[in-house]
Amino acid sequence: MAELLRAENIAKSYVSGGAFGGGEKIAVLKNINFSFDAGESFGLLGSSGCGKSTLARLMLALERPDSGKIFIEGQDIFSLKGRELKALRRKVQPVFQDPYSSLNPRMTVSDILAEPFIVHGEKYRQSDLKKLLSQVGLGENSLRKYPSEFSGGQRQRIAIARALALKPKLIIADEPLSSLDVSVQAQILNLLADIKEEYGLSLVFISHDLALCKFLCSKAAVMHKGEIAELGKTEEVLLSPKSAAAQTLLEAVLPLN
Amino acid sequence: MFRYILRRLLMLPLVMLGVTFFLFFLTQRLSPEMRASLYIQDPRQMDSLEEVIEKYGLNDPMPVQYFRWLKGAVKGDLGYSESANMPVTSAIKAYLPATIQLAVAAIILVVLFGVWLGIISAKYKDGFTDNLIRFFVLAGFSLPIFVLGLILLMIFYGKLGWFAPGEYSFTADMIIHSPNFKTYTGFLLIDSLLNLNFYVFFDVLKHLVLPAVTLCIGSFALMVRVMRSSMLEELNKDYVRSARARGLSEFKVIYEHAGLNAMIPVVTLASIQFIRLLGGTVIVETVFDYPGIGRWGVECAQQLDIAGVMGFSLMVAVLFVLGNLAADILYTAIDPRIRLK
Repeated sequence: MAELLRAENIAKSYVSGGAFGGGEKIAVLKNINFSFDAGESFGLLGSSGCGKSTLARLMLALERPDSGKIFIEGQDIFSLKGRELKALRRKVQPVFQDPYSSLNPRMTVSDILAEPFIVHGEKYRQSDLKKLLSQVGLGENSLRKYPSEFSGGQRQRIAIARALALKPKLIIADEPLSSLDVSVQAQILNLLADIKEEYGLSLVFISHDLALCKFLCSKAAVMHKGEIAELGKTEEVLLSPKSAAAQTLLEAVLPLN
Repeated sequence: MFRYILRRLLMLPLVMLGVTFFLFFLTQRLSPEMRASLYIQDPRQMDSLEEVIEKYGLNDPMPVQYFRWLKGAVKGDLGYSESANMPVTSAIKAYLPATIQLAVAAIILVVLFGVWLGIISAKYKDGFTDNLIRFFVLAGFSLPIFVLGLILLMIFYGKLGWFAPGEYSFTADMIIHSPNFKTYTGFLLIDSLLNLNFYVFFDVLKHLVLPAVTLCIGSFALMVRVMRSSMLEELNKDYVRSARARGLSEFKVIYEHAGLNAMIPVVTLASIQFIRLLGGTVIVETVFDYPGIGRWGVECAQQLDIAGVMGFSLMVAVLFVLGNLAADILYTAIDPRIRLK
């Protein structure tokens, strides 16, 4: 399998506080290295504040690192500009944590789903939008409605449909389940797994739940304080965690039996 | 929606009744002699003070006098304004258009520049541009309106002679009051266009510049501030992030996605500010000798022209209720989540 994404020595820091200058520099990411192949899914685990979401924004090329590179299909994404960057955007799409803020409340579902096509100058028909909706398990009558008329789970489905519109190769899902209740979580999890199969796409699944990660991802990294504490096959990380961070995460999940 | 509007409109008479009753009660604290002095122009007429009190029933119990006023008001007769030398209703009709013209010009400036500066300020948060905008906006806000008005007059009228005070020039006055100039709406800007008289149009527009700028500087600060914070909030939401990740141009992300959503609080603020401007043109109209409703209101109060004061307040109250209603209706247009019940 061809390599899809490779991160090399990523470091990123923010300046905190200090309206009059002299703010403190806080390192959010340090020495991040990982890679995965096309079609493979990658789990990014860690407690809150460990830098997972920052890493997600870097992979989406929404922010730049202080140093280090990310290659997607061999292209250094931070060197891209203009048309090339736009082409990259087609390949990588986000699904965010909070479905209440990830959909523009002024746009109907139809507008939301049509926008990716319009932005990238692609023709689309009404039937394309309906197909996208049915793929995420929503009816055609949803097209005319506004996001506020849907529940959290339904909104997350719309967000996923939007991400699928341009047939991306990689979807970066930043804790897509954590603001949903448990029964809905299972539905969305299944939906993500189905879509992964059907489109043959890769998924970066960011979560703090190891069990969910195992369901979707073959490979996983556990992050701790901005660094990768453990990297390997999901099962290995799950069954015999070597780092303290991974052990803590595992213990935090209540055993079912 | 329709029922909501109807219900709000049904509230209007109650508000009017409350406002006028309260004001009438206040004016009754002045002695009959003081109120009668309005009708006396010459010291030699002082002897007829009793006669005036008798004639207008100024000594009657308050409810009787209020009821008398109310009876007239229901029929559309708000009394005679001595300070304007015409019935109150005619005075409102004569002065209100000029003020609305002024307030509309000011609120357009406030919204356009306030929103724009707010967006830029948010975009370059904590940067040089942001600090510059915030400094000047706050400086303008801190300057008293009459000081600012006088400074502007000094520079642009005294030194440069560009913008004169008043509502129009002497030449325009001659044209407006000539038989060829037809009055359609009372709004000179609209009427001059309907008469195809562009000289008057630009003359009136030119006289509007300084008072409108003076008026808007005071309202600017709040608008920029609200827009900036609302914009910052929107820019931090995931739909903006995902719009960027979809490859939308920065212009579209900022103005179409985040900008429009950030406008929602601006709509309320603008409608409240507009009404405030209508009632608050008092100082500006006095400084610029602009013959609007605010200047008339001041004259009424100074001359104890009670019929005038009542009419003025009644009008402001009605505008306030209607303005708030308009804001509510505007909401539903701008935010699909809001449904009026």
